Amino acid sequence: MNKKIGITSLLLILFLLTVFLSLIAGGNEIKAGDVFSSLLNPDTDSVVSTIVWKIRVPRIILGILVGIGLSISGCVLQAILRNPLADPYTLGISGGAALGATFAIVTGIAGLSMVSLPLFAFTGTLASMLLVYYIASRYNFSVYTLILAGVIIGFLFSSLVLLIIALSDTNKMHSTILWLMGDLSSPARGLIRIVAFFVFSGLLMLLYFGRELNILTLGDEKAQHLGVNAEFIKKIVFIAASFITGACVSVSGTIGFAGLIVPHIMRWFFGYENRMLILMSALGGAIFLPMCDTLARTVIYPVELPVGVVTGIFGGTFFLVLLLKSDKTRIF
Amino acid sequence: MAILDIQSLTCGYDGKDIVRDVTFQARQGSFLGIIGPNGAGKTTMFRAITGILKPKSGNIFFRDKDISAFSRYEVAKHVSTMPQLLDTPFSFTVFEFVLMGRFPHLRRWEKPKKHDIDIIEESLAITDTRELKDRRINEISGGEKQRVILAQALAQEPELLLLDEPIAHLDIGHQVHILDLIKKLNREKNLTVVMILHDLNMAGEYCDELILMNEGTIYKSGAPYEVLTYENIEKVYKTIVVVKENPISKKPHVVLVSNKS
Repeated sequence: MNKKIGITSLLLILFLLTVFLSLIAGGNEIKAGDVFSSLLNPDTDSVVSTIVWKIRVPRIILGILVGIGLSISGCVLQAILRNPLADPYTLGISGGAALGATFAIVTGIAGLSMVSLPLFAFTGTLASMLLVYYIASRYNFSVYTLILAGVIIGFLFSSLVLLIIALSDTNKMHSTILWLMGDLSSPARGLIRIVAFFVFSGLLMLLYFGRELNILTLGDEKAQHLGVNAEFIKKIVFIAASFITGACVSVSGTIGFAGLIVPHIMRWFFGYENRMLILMSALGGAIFLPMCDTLARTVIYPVELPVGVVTGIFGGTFFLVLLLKSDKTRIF
Repeated sequence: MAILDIQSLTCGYDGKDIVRDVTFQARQGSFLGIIGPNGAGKTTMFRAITGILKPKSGNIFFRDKDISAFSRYEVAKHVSTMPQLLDTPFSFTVFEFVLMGRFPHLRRWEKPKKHDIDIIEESLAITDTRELKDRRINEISGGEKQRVILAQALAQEPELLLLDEPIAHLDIGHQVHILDLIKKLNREKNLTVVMILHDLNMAGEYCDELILMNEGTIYKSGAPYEVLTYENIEKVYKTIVVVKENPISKKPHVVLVSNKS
């Protein structure tokens, strides 16, 4: 128990450190001192203040929110699918979002307003979610049907994305691919509030059903014998995780790996109890994504890397080390 | 008094009746064995008893109350099950795993109290798994895991324990260990046990009463010596056997006869 408190404290320090570094890191030759004075005096009209308040702070907040959202979605989907390899995109959400976003970019609708692309992406996630829900419901929401439906719908939508990309011109192709790799920059304020709403209400809902999630990892049959309505819990969790993921992806693009790796690292430290694990995955996600994003925009400055590339390389390497250093039984 | 009273139960899946017009009772404190070939409807009947599967017709009474009037939680407070195998993709500790047996007794945000912890400790002690409690469920052996699964079922404080081939994949040492344990619980705690078994000799050895099922109906029920006759077994299993007597327990002992002999 003391060990867990110790690690939690370390993670909280790491979180503050990440936010701090993320605020001062970057180009524009801004001094750390200036960043803080503008943070303390939000009303000043200087260039530094504008950069901090209009660019960096929203970006960090979005990074934290999306990090939390993807990590907790991954965590609970791994539980209901009883599969440690599940992630927020296993159930086709990313395919739907990508199709909506690609359509908006290629048709030029994306350029009309700040919210048109996210709106189309979110519509796409709703479409894929409804399709997967409909297919899985026909088979009592069994784990295999759910995964199969998710993978099929995901593939179908991704193929349509590729079709549209193949038919579009180079410029639009480039924008689409960059969107697909994830981008946390310059989100509109209103969008951040919407993402925050989905992420935090989803977080509360998933915590509420945390103890059922523990039982559900024993399989439907045993869960039902212990008094859990397995099908109902799977439906609720699927819907909650889909809305959280959909909201995140619509604003930030399909950032990979965070939702897979963060719950694993947290299981390593905190065990398998899902209430604890959901909370700690939230904390882990709030560190992991802003950290990757800070790296993405500083490592080969002035060129900015897509954050999805950094989460993949950074997360993948970390995971690989963990896998190679661990004893075999503990990793999952 | 019958703790479990099944009246002309018919149930199945997608309109196909797997169990047809089955009637039997289990008395408080009895040790009932259910035998029969694969596909005879044994497991399906269990699923109806726990309320997972709705009966197409007929009734299941638990202590004179229709089981369909119980919520899932209420059923789980009185009836627990032990499967043949339980796949655990996430490696909870043995203690956490057994604690899950308290699920139907605890409210959503309620922390396990001393009473719950005592029951868990007792379940671990009875099943001889106390020293495993900090180990991870996927790090222990198959025999140990099966005892831990039994401990979880006992932590539910069941009045009726349903076992679905609890020893199917264990070696004979662990088979006898588990069944001795269940017999002891049955004798000392007056726990009612209904157990599906494939091993006819084990069934004859441990159960007070046997029900032989065939094609969804009860073919024969009664004391082991009444059910385990070569006529009944050859008819139902379509296999030639000789029934002898176990020299120690005097219970029937089924000997297989292969085509070569």
